[in-house]
Amino acid sequence: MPRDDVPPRREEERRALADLLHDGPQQMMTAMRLVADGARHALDEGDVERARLGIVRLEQLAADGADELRRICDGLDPARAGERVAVLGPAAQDEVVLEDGTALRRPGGTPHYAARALASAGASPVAIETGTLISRLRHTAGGTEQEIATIPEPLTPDAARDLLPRLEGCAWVLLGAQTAGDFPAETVRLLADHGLAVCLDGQGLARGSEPGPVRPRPIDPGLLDGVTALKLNEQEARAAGRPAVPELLITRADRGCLLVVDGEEHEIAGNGRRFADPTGAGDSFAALYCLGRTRGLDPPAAAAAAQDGVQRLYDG
Amino acid sequence: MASSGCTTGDGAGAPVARPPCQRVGLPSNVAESIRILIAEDNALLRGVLRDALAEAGMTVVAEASDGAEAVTLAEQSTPDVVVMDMRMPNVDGIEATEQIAHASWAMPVVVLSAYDEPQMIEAALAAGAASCLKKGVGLDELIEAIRAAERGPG
Repeated sequence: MPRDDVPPRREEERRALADLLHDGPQQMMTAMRLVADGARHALDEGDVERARLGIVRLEQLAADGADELRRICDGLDPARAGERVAVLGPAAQDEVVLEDGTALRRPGGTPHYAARALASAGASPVAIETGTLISRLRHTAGGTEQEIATIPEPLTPDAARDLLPRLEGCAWVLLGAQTAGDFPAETVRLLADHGLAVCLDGQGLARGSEPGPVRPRPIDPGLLDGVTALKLNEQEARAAGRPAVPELLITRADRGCLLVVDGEEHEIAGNGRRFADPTGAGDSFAALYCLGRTRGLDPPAAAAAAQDGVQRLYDG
Repeated sequence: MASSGCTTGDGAGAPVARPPCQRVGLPSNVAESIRILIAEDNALLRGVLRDALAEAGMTVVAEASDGAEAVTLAEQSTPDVVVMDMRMPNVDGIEATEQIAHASWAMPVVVLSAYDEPQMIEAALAAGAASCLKKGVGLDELIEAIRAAERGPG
């Protein structure tokens, strides 16, 4: 089939698969070739110990590669072909300053990070950028400070209705709000009425909707009508309290997360290893939570799977 | 051209102090003075390249995890040769190669490509790459390409 004739959905899946194969097995095989050559050089030189170390590294690379391929095969299993998770939200142009002062400029936003996380878990992301936001993030030991330079356009109910055909086959939709105005209450209600379980990343709701430094604030309960799951980080949760939603997730980075389901608390442990750069970790967590729920996991199991997946992505 | 150690970034770009690069077990006349910048977004492969080139007697003076970082570090660390992945976030390897090859402080770039299409290889060479190797290349071929790039076209 000529490339121009490939349906958009299949094109998305092909691109996701190409990315998976490029980022995983191809890099692994390239590394194995270099390590094998190094071990051969060592043997040629009579350096048995260095050759042995090379073989040990090859064994580890082969085992890791087999695991990676198994994950990809799981994701291609026709029985799981329906695992599409929708992600809507503004794209972000992030100017990031890390704890050590390193400055980076990178594309961001929930669709960007969530799609990567979903693809790595073998799912088919349906990531749609609904606008653009420019922000500056500074990660410090005490948390992340953010300043918003431009506000994205809201996703109106009419615009959301136009997107519905592209969300076909999705049970969950993640709304990656960057500001409080990104997803009007009517839009959230429309998506929920269409049968989608809505997971809302509350970072935007806790920020307000004007440019300038982000100051977390209480969330307007009117924006949560129709929301099944709400994700907040600790800073946002301190400002927002415990909004009344069926599934509330409060992420704590490497320390795990707190899940509140119908008032009952569940502690999900983390591995305690700090992320060098946590940008996008919350988006990835929310996306993987939606995937877990799509796969039929109950909320605690989905949260645990999301925590595990984020740590695998962000431990480097 | 001596270097006291390697400066590197992890997968997310945060610099991590590493011990000085060691030469291991190769003849002293093997490319000992070639200083390398590795630009590769995959942390695993970056680490393997670092070790393989160090064992081959080269000095890895800096590592970058995207194209923009590669251009910055190339100017700052002035390596003899840049080993550049073609596909990287932010600024990709082709664009980074073009910026490095046409800068006033230009240095040779050896591009590693996961792509097999001739047009991608041509794009790398048109951007100013000294050579373009397919990923999966053997260590000997990579080392020879780096040496050839360091020697220059003459």
